Amino acid sequence: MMNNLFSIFDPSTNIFNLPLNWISTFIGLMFIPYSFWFIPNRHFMLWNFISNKLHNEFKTLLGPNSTSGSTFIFISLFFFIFFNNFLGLFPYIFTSTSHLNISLSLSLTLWLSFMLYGWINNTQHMFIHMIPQGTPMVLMPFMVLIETISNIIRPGTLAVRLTANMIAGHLLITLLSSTGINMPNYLLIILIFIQILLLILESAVSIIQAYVITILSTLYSSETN
Amino acid sequence: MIFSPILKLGYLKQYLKQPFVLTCTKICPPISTTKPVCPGSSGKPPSSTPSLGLKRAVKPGKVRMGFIPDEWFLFFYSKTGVTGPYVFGLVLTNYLFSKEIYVMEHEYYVGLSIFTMLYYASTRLGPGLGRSLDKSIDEHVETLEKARRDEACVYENAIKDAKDAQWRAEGQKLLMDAKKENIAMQLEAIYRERFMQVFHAVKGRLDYQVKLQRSMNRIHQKWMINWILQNVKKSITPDFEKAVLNKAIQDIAAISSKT
Repeated sequence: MMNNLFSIFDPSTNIFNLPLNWISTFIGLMFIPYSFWFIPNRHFMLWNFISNKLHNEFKTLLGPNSTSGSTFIFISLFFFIFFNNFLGLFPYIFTSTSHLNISLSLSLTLWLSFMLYGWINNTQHMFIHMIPQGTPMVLMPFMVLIETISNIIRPGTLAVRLTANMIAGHLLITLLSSTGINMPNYLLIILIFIQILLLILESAVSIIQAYVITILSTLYSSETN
Repeated sequence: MIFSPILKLGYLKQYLKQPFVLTCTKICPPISTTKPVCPGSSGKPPSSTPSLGLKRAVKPGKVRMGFIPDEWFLFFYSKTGVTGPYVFGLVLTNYLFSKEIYVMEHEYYVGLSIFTMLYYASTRLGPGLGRSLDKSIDEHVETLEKARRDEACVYENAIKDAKDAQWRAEGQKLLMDAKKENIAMQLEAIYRERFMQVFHAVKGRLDYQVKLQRSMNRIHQKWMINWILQNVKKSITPDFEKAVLNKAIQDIAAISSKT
């Protein structure tokens, strides 16, 4: 029973005040295919297909100078965020990525590690990056300021983009479905139909948000080199 | 400094490994000592490979209504018959809904939409996706099988070539025998030729001796005849000649008188 509209985002399932909602973060692990047999099954082939596509995308972005295997962290990030987003659409599953503590832990850790590496090892390169080629001399101070600010708010944007999208989508679905409680049966079909459309949108958003956050992290990491 | 006592415990791992090794050998199958049959030759998989009793399931387990395993229905069959589990499900759902143990709140309606979506996705898109994935699995398996078949083929060709080489080596023996015979024949021919040479040489010498003898005889004869004739001619006196002539005339007259 909802006290307020946002109570679906409350981690409230608990044993002795230990919130158990967060276990839903690890449900995505159950979807990783087993490779017990040498011959792959369909699940394994699908997983491989998606991983290979992502790997090819990220490899291009990271450039030819990147270490081989550096796409793995981003593929894992993609799958983690995708499963958390998508499974949150199902009833009674808590969307852990709709909380800033998950999104911010991911984005801040990544961004800070990239930035510290870049500032300590390639300091000059990081400073050069801030100003695009061909800027007039007059604009340079302002450019530096703006670029610095945009750089610093990057972890915030990454995290908040994900969280806000998730909250907005799930909230909309909850709002819509909460009207179904007091609805006559002949209108339920319309409600179900609208909800189906919304759920299709939300599934797409979950994939897109996972992809966006991963691509941006890849870009930020490739900037440091 | 924090890790040094932990690292020191690392040497204890060798003692910990013992029970793991013992448990592992119970599960691991014994090593096969029979030679595997070459798959290219017979096409049958080797039957002598031991297994753990696990077989790769080609199809997923049978389910009813999409997600309930078939075994659950069969388990209750003896007590409740065919409709038993369905009736149980219906009654349970009815109980949960009517007693408000399961409250139809907003998640329920989301669940309805999700269920409809999943049903249509799995019935419409599912088979197509399954077919394309199966195709990629088959391609993967075909690559592996092709590698195996090609390697078996390479080995079969190697065996064939080795057998060919053996056959040729045996053929070499025949060749050597033929060569030996040839040489023996040549030697025989040369021997005979030389023998004939010797024969002719010896015969020539003997012929010479014979000719020598004959010519000596001839010369002796001729000289003897000449000497006899000379002596006879010397010994014929004119008186003797007259006497003989007269005798001859008398003989002729006698014969002519007879006729």
